[in-house]
Amino acid sequence: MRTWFILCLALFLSACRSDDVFRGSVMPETPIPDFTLRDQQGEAFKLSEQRGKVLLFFFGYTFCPDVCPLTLSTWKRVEEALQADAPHVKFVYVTVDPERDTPEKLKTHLAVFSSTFTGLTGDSTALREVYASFGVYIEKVNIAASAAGYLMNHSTRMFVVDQNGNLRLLIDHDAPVADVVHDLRLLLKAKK
Amino acid sequence: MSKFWSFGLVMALALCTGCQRSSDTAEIIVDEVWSRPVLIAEATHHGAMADSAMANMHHAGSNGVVYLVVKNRGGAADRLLRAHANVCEATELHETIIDGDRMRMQPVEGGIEIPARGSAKLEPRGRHIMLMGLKRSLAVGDSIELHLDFEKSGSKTVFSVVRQP
Repeated sequence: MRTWFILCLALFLSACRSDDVFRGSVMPETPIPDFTLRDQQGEAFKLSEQRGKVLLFFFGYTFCPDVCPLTLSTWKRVEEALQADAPHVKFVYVTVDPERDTPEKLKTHLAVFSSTFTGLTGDSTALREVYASFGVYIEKVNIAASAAGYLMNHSTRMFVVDQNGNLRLLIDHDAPVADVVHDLRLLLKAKK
Repeated sequence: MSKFWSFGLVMALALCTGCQRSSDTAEIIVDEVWSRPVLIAEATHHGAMADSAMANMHHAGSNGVVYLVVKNRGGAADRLLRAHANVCEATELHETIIDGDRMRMQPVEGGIEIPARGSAKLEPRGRHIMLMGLKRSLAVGDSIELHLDFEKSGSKTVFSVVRQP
């Protein structure tokens, strides 16, 4: 009797988690102002030219050995799990450390994870405008006692921009791969 | 009969000495040592890097990381003070602190305590050993030699296996 009760409860709870509901934090549809930055090939990346694709943004830096590459590892697994849907999603890594992150540095760093990931840098004015558009927190901290010289404090969330250039979702950096894939597919399905 | 008592006395003394050693010493075991892969550009390989760039490594270089678990089977706490690895220019103990949506990374001051009969985990999104200014790429399957200096247990050499997180 107890087994049946637990089984029914489990079925009920799993049914409550609808496949049509985003697992990330839903944002009011906010258009991201157009911007142009430089990708790891040295080519211009203009936001308005990405229409039609779902964009997954993360703001990090190549000097970071921990959260930033872990997020890129998550992206790698997300891209693999998306399979046929992967070409409809663009993974965009924007540096918070333009002082160190040249296009060449981004190119080498991202190559470990995927040849399709886009790495963006630019001059500090252009980057500051992009950070402000997304509401990204960034702080440079000088650490004299460390060989690092300085480290960057920054936001950890991923930002999802839809096919029309609107900010739609915030996803935690440690979200399960299945949840990220689910939300990206839901956005892709909604616009088909 | 006296032989029997002598043997018993020796055994009891040995047991007490063992207990004493266990209660006031640290017994360190390092386990689950791993790193993630890193690709570095040819220009930043050791030997190929210009002297000026080497001198100014605050603003250059690719970094790696080592995660591990330190277990202490002894009765006294110990402390991981520092690490060294020939694969990079500098090695530091760092910690990532995540506060809501914000993360910051900072050096660990005073080392990492390994409690008596306890353990300390250096794991993703937490404390870690930062390998700064890698001299070569780290590919999956590579092994990195690492020397760990403990306050009481002295230096221990371990090998970190490079694998995907």
